[in-house]
Amino acid sequence: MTSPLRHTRRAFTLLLGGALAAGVNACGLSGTGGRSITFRVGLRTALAPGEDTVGVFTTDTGWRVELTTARLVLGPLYLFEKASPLQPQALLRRLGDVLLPTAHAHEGDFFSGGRVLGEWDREVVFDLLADGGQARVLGRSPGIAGVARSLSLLLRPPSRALGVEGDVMEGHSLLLAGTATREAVRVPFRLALDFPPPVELQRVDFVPILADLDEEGFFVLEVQPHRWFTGTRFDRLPVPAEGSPLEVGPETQVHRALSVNVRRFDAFTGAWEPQEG
Amino acid sequence: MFIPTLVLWLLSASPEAPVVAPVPVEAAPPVMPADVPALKQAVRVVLRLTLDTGGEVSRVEVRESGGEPFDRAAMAAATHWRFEPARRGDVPLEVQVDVPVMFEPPALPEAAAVATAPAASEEASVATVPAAPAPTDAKPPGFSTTVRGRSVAPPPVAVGDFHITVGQLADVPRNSATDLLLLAPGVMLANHGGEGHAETVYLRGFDAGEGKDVEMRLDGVPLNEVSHAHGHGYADTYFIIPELVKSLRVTEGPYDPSQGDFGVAGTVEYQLGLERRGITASASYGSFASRRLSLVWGPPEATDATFVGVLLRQGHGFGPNRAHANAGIMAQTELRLGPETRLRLFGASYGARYSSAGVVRETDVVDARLPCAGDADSQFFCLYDPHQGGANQRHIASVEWVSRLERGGRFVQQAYAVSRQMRSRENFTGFLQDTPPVGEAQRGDNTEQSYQGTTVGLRGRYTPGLVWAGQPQPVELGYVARFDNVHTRARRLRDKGGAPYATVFDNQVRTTNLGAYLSLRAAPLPWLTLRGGVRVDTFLFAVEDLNRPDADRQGARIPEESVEAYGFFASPRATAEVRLTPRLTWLSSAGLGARSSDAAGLSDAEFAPYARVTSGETGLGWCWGDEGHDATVEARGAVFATRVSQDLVFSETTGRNQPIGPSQRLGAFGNVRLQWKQRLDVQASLAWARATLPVPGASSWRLWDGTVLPYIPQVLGRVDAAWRGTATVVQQQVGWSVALGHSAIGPRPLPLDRYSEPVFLFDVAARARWSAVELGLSVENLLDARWRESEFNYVSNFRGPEAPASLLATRHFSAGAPRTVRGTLTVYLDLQEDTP
Repeated sequence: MTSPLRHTRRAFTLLLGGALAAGVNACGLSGTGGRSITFRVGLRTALAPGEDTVGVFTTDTGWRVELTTARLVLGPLYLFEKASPLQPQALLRRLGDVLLPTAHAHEGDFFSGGRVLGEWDREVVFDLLADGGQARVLGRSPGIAGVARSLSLLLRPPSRALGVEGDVMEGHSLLLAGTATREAVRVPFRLALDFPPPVELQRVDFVPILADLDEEGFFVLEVQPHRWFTGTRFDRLPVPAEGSPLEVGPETQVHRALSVNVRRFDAFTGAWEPQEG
Repeated sequence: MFIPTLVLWLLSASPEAPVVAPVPVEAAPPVMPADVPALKQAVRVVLRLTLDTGGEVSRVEVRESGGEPFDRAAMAAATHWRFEPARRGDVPLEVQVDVPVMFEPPALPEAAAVATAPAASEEASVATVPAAPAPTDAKPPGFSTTVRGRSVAPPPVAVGDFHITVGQLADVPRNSATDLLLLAPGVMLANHGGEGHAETVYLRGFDAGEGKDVEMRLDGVPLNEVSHAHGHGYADTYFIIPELVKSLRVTEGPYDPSQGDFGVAGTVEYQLGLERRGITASASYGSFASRRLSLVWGPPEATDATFVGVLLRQGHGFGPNRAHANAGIMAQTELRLGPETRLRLFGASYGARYSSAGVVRETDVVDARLPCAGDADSQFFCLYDPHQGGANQRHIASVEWVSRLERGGRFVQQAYAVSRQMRSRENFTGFLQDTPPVGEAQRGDNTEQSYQGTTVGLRGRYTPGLVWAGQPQPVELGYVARFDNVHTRARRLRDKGGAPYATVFDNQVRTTNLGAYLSLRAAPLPWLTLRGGVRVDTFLFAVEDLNRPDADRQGARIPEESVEAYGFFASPRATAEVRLTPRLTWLSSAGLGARSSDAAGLSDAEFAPYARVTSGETGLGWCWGDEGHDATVEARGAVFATRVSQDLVFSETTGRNQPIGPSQRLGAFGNVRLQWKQRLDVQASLAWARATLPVPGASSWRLWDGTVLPYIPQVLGRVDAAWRGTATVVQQQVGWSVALGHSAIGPRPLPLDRYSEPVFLFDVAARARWSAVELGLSVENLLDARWRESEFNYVSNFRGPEAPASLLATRHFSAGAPRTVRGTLTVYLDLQEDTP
């Protein structure tokens, strides 16, 4: 409840504050450096090259995959100011690095991306097929204006903080179902991935981005499921019984390939859409 | 003042004299000698002055002695007097005049004065009365001057050197003796740790932490604690009983050679004394079940240096997890060992326990995500970790020997011992710092900091009774010798159960600080006084690191290691005082100071690095008193610049201060105090400071450039006012007083080029006394402002051990106290004044 006294107090404070601030704020900014912003964060499933449907793509091993279920527990997401060490560099610079290697002081962390300029600090269950390639807006997030050059995110089992939203994951980090087809072979499959602690095995690092973060822009994390299936050999799976999907277990090549690929730096990417106008 | 009176009297008293009498042009009043006993009766000194044909005092003789210190004080003043020479016709004459100088006890309070009025002001006051002309060669008239009061403080070493008599301003509501610091301009206090945790001091553009940059002393006993687990130099003044604080000396900047370790932003010395003799018992009760009981007494037969004080405080605090309880005793006896020597025995004991709410994330407060009711107030005062708080114990014993020497000098020796124990638990980051064993979740970042040990020391000063080039006591020698033997440790505690699971550091520290200083004073010209000196400090650190690994690449080892380091620092300091007019003085000061190293950061056999501070200041001081000295006004203003070679800022990961490199400050302040008839006392100050991190490689003179240090307030204003009077109620005389304290904290620079909201706090109090009983009511934060007492910007995770952590630095703050009302009943017994 807001009392009249509170209004009076606020008016009084504003009056005095205005007078005092006028002198100090004459120069506008406090001079501490940086600029805080607020921007929107969203998720989107990327279309595979040459495809116009989300969740449909052809792997480099020739399998045509059509996903019917794709859910992922994702987050938090961090946008770093430093570039990914895996980011492609100019040939000349790479040559220079070989000839004149630079000494690096150990910064103490596995990957120190420098300052975090933006983040989505919660986890979310993302249905990759639900929005048909359109971005799902998660919400607004505070940040610092500047160019973010890499991102990092966590893949982990759903925590209690997710509540009922996490129930659909049945305790897993990633659920996939669909059909892989090559020539006359058709492999309906279901697969679940788990990424338990330690956090080093949950983290997707070094994702190169180039996002000039600023007020009221929109940062979209793009999930690239077509890259997850790079090198998968569905032909090595046992032939399933007619009509029933094959449960892809952790002992299989497909499971192992997905487990590695989902945490590769190119399994995700990011895009920045500045505020229009 | 007395000069116009004197002129008129001289003119009227010698109309028929064949010689035109000398007329005083400048005749600054004598100063009551320091450290003389309280006067019971007047002391008279008669000086014979020889005035040359230029009107200068060429010779001073004591015609009638009032005792060595009074003779010297009178002579010291007389050597600076200047006259229009005596003349016969147009011919100037050399003449002699006899001048009686009276030193009188303090003026008694007016009978009608409110009964709670303090004793006479410490400020010397001067009055002139006609006296019989003394027969000399030219038979000119003489004049007399009277000094009323007690020993006055030594002259300031800088414009920012304040000798603050609390006096009537004790009526302004204050929570503790620490709040008395607000009487010095440019001071802001903040507390993030609870009632019992030392206050963070912001002074002169410094975030001085809990003492890292402010040297704190209690009547000569150092309070800064070396290598404290919470921060090097941690100084808790919460144990000081406010009723026993007679005055404060706040020296802003390192300009006095007596300032030692930690005197980077300045030095604060609490000076104890109980002016009101008899027994004073006081009981308070107020908001949030706060209770306060104080009892102070001092026999009327003894001086104000003999007293006992007992203080009990307890309360639930203004929000969850803020309960506190503490008790303290302070006692002092002054023994006179002959007419020239006294011995002061002082002791203090203190114990405290407190809980703390710590800090909260701003975003969680805004989104109402804290585990309290959803309304804005509940969220504002809520907390994350209820296991925060601490406990303190402190015991002090001190012996001080003061001898007045035959020729007016002084010889002071002091020995002290301090025993200290503290434990503090704070959680700044939630669940972020731990690297848990595989398969386990974060165990929590609650950090326990403990500190225990003893300090023993000697200090002294010697002022030979020399007169050199007409300057009495131009030399002072001083020394300090301090030994600390402390155990300082920080450990992480489990969120569940509170058991320690990791040691951050664990050191046994032994430190010896030896220092000596020499200060000189000279007045080469009548209007110019130069003061200066040099101080030398040495430190020997011996650290037993008890937190080393029990194995290394070569196999098993003992998990302990010894480190020793030695440091030396010499710091010159100088002041030039130009007397522009009898009332207006221009002071310019420059000095070097130092902060010793935190033993936790030393390497073996290292020449211990110091943080060096270089500071300069220039400004004006002006004072005025009316004829009867019913009113006095003192005003000061100065600009200053300071550069520190190695600054420290708070680090949330360790919960203590960590080095950040050099920093610099530019600032200015103004201060005025008006006192009228022991009825009205008003002090107002305004200070501005800009603290920056210098641009690497830039000139030292580019004090404006660089990134601004956040959180340090740039503009601070403070008003303290108290008014006392009497009224007749039902044919009974009732004394009353009203008081106001106002703090204005300008927008504080925040990270990312932001400013905080300004803060305006008003505290008021009113009291009424009839006979021996007094009732009081005080309201702190009258407007019930929601304000942030301390503020930080860093990464934290308070969502839980398994929740994803935020890595974006965000604002955290500790809430300031809301409106607090308190009623007080005070009973005065064995009074000096029986009526209000």
